[in-house]
Amino acid sequence: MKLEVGGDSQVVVVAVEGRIDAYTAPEVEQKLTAAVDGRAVLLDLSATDYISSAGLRVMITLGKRSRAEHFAMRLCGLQPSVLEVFEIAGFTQLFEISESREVALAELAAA
Amino acid sequence: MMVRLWGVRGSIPTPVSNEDIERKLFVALRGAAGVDLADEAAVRSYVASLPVHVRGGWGGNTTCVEVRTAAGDVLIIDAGSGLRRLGESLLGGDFGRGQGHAVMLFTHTHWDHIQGWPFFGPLFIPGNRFDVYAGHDDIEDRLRYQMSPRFFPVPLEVMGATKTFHHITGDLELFEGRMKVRPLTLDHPGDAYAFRIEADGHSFVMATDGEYKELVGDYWRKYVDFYREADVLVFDAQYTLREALVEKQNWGHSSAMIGIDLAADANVGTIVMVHHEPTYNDEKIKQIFDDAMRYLDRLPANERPKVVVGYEGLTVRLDP
Repeated sequence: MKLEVGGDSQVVVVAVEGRIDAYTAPEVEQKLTAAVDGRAVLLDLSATDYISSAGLRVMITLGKRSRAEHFAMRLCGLQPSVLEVFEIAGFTQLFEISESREVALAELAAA
Repeated sequence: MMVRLWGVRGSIPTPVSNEDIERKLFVALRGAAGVDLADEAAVRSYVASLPVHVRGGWGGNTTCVEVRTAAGDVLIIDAGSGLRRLGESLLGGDFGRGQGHAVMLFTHTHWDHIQGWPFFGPLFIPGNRFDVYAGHDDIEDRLRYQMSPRFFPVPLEVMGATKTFHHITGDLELFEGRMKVRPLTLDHPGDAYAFRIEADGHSFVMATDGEYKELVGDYWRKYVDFYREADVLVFDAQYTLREALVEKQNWGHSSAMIGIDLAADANVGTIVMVHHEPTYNDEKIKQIFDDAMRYLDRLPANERPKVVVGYEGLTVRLDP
């Protein structure tokens, strides 16, 4: 698993490559926690090829924090197999999901 | 070793409604086009070919599992309403003659795990012997309280079988060493216990009424280690993942998706999903586990456990 943090003054973009499972989720959560600073958060999962229940739990934790601390959160670029897991778990109703990073950034800017 | 499920429903016994039966009949009859209904053998074959949730159902009785060793030792886990029918079955053998002996393990004493106890026929026959074990140190008091006059007309003392109550404080050896039992505390309000049972060269884990509050780290590994290489894992899958992580967090139950992840990490042979949500009918339960199978299919083939939806009467035989 590799994770990159970038963005601009308005949005922090976190891109995760590889698997998010019971063994990589702690690092993802730790780096996400460190990256959150009040800006909107965009989680780019276009290079994430696998997500388990542990990965979904990281999303839930971040989602709760975004509501508590009033920052926008959005996911983007989910591969079909990852999107299917979100659908199976009923999580597509819990998160704002965009097709691509470009679309997500535009939607965050317009919000 | 043989494992048989007598009760798989969570929380409260859940009889099938008339509406559900009508729906099952409708589905079955619509599917019968082309079947020669005048031919009894053809009809029987057709009925037998229907999926469990159409020809019958997953079952409405609450938790009860029977385990038998090759030597004939009888272990009963939990006394949900499924225990009543197990009792009827046992009365056909030694227990009907007052010559039976069984060990009973209690995962915990919430109603759906003890409510069958007062209706367990073999307990009323003098000569039968029951060794009752629980991780809670006052199991006798709890069972007695359930049968106090305010709640039940017959007190515990009327049960003529010999009952010996034991507090589990560590690993157990039962039936002169033919069976080993290891307990592990599960996250559940008031605590529940999982049991890892080794007998006849096989391992079976009963892990119902457990929530997994962390899905990573040492917390996760504790359960993976406990379930590791089990031939069969009976698992609490009452909720969808969303319910387990969001809507019903801290209610003490888990989901099929978490079970699949645990079973895959622990290299479990077969995971059997139980403790079905009582507000869900058989079709909804089928749909939840169809979704779980789609989740399973995303794992590499060599990491996938066999996944079975538990139903009343399901029997798993592990040859010595």
